Amino acid sequence: MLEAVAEMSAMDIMLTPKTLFKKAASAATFLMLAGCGGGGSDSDLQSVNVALSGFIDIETGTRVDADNADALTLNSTPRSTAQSLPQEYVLAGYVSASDGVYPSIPDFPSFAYAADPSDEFSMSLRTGQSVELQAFGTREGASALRLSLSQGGGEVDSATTNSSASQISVTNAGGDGTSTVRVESQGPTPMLYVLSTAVNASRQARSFDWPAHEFVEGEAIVVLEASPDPASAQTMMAQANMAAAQELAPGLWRVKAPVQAMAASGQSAQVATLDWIRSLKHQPGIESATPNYRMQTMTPVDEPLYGAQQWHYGLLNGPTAWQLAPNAGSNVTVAVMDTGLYRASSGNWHQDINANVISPLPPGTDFVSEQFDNDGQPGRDNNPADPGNSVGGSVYHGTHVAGTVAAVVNGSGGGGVAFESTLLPVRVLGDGGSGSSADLLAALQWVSGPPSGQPRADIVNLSLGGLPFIQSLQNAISNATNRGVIFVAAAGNSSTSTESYPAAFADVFAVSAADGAGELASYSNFGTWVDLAAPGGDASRDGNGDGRGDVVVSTSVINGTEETYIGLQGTSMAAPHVSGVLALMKGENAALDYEDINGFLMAGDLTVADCGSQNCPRTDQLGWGLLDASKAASAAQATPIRDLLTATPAVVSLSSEGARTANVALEVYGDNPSTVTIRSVSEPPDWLSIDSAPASTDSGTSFDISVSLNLAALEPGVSERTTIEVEYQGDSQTRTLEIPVVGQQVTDQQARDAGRHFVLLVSPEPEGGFFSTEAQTNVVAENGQYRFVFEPDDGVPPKELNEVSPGNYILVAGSDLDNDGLICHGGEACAEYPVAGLRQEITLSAGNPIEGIRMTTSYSRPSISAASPEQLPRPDFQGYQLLSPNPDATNVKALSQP
Amino acid sequence: MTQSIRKAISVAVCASALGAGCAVSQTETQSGAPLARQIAQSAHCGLVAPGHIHLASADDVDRLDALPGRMLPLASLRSVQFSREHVVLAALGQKPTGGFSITLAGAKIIDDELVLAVDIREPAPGMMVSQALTTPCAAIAVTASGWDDIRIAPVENNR
Repeated sequence: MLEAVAEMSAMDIMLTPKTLFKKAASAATFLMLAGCGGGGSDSDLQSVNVALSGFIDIETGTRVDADNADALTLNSTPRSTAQSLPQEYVLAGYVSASDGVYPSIPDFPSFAYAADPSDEFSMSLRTGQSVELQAFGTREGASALRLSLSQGGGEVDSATTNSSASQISVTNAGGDGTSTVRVESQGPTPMLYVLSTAVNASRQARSFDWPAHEFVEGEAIVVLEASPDPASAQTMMAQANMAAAQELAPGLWRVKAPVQAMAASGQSAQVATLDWIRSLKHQPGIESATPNYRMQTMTPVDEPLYGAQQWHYGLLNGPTAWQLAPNAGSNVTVAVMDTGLYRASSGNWHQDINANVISPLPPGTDFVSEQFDNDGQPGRDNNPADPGNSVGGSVYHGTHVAGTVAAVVNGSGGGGVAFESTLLPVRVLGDGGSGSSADLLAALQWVSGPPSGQPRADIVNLSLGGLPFIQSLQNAISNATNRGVIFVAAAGNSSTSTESYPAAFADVFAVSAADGAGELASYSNFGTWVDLAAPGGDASRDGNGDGRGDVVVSTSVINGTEETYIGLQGTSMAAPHVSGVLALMKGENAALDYEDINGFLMAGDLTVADCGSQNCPRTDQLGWGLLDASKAASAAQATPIRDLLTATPAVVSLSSEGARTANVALEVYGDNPSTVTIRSVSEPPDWLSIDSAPASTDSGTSFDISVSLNLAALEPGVSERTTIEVEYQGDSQTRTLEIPVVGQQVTDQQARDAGRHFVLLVSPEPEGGFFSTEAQTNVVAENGQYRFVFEPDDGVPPKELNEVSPGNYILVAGSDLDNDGLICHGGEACAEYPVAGLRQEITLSAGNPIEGIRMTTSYSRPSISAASPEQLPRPDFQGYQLLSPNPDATNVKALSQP
Repeated sequence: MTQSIRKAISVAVCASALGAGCAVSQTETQSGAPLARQIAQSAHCGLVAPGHIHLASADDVDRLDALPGRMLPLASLRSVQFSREHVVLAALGQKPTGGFSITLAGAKIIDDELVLAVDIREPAPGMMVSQALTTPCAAIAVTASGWDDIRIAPVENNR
């Protein structure tokens, strides 16, 4: 979006005082909202020293002049060598022919600027590619800037700004290669500028390449034009040169080729099969004939979202678990008692779970009573479809939960933990995700099955909570448990140790939430009643260091009908990981019940723990520990598998601005591994080199593969994906280990830098043309991102700059590249919460820290259009003032005093 | 809803929630249109902090596309004619579970201040709710003229 609002001179971005200072930042009093509900009373795990914290993302391609005036206050020597830039970027810089002092502002300290007559940048430019410069004056005034482009020591183009042209460009006419771009001051005043290359709008990430499917020789899948009875169909097929093998659905048959069709051609079996299938298409009564594709054994590792976003599966050792439990939960039914599932007007469920939803649906799966119901059919009925909320948007909570359990592995989106299990949707939560204990009780009694029959589910996921102890619910759960049902529930999100039911009931596995580092999420409940932890996400943290907040990505729907994946956080997201892993276990060993699982849990067989012969310790935060799907899958085996080769990392990601090489450790799984013999390692594509790998006869329990990226074979900005296949022989059989590898040239995420940023909380009402700054902190970019924290004012003098009192504020941040004590004017980076040009008044109240704030900083500004005469420009806006220096503070900017 | 009923509700809201000073207030535009109307609502607006945002143009609505975690559908916001109405997003901030919502209850202008009375719902103690974090908000279309300030005033804590 920010790209779309670029191209506007920030000097032109203005608003009349009335609208800017009154309407856009009106004096709301919203204090009561901050305290309304939510949260627990136990604060020993809360961030007690945080009043407001968050992240500032940096717009794509952003770089900063290394010797800007702010940087020169810390290191007074201008850079003497050219600064390297990527091929596409947007950079803000500073030049000044001499040093000096800015004109004073009443009640504001004087600021000085340093001399830096010119800047040089080195970059690779394509023939015909242009470099653009936009000049910005400072409080000293405006001077001309000269922009030049050189190649091989000779200048090939130049341009100079003047009073009527602040935007100029130079073009590379000298051929592809390294160019030097120089910006020179042509006058007496310091100047800011923004330098950028034109963005190639056609650059879009391509889909990953997938290997072609194999098919079963001598077989085909045919669709008949009519649906005759089986006897007639078999007769018809025999006349059409095929033999019926299996009726898959009415009119849909798996057929075999006659022996003579395969033998007579003299060709390979595959070619003969395809020739035969082509002939079938011309037979009367045949609508279509396709090969019987042999689907490779795929797991969620092979899904597009796995490497990029679904960190939560790696955290629980999913890739190894899916090798150990190849049934993937097949023949295991998981009831998701929740808001129901999204159902399209076609009657299908969300496309990435549809194939795993039980069919036909048993009657009576919507238990929401009239008080909470909003599905247009008040009261309990047979349709567990989630209607969304009665007013406004919904994220389809139950659909998200169900996707984590059992999203289908199909080459799109992501897969669930137990991607072959069966989903039984049971609707117990109505409008807004709320419901009654009576409805839950009815559902629990129903799922335990009729007295003389079987339970209706093997596992029940309860991503809901907030109930007190209710004996009738406990009785229903215990009764169902005695009949073999296993219950998993979310521990709750109130950062409290107070028991939340149903999680705290006996015979229920209570699941707390972990972030990307496996630590307890900031919001998660904890306590003696928590059994184990699983990934639930924490958007306020980046525990796994991937540059993103840790949210759990799963199936959802936005804008009413758009089936997609979104990230959510909560113990609601943690519980289905456990339910999925239990389904994996039941898929390997159907006899497992609650007592068996609980025994494994307490022995450390389900969690990340290395307890040796000792009893594993449990903690109130993570219970018996963080879920480990691989150990769980291993524990479920009737006969331990001792010859399974695993890869660490499970997925290799290489990029030009990240790791270009990687070492993959191959180890036979388990404490008592058997020796395996390597049969082969597949050949990589040209963009990948396998620098070392085990030979085809090597035997052992551990091996190494080293790979490196061939950047020249990659198209910039395009992700490529391949799979290294390692075939090996163990005690029992020949297996293939697949190691997905992703390669990409140029991802500038980690290199983004918009200069040192000052983060301010300013008063919503301006005084004397400036918003009054009440608190301030400064941050530098780390891995392409800024992180900031404001602390609550402890009342102990001196008041630190980053301490803030309860009240209403506007949150802004930006760079001070010309060192004039003002941020966010033209030529400087600026962020406003929640988005630039839209300032929300934030209410801070005592004891209610706000964490996980996110905003984006950029040199671009909101654009003006005829449709927004009132919002823009901001004629009197001069920037936000940094706080005056305080000799007792520890967090103040190093102000330059004349 | 008829105009007379709307007025009655507005006065009632004012009396119950906004307190004294109602006698001289304005409850509808000069042309008889409502001062405010709710046009959208979501439990996942992406606004982590409590407060409100004023959207004065279609461009402002477009800027919301950049909001991380936003699930609020923007179609109804884009349908507003900004020459006549603006949009206010009233946010509760991040909440620990489902069951929270904010809804417009009434509006009036008092001394150039547009006061939006909102009904805030939160789960009653012991109520069963979904356990994903939420960021509830309401999108309210308000008259574009006749006021300088906005104030959000909760009417009651309706469990």
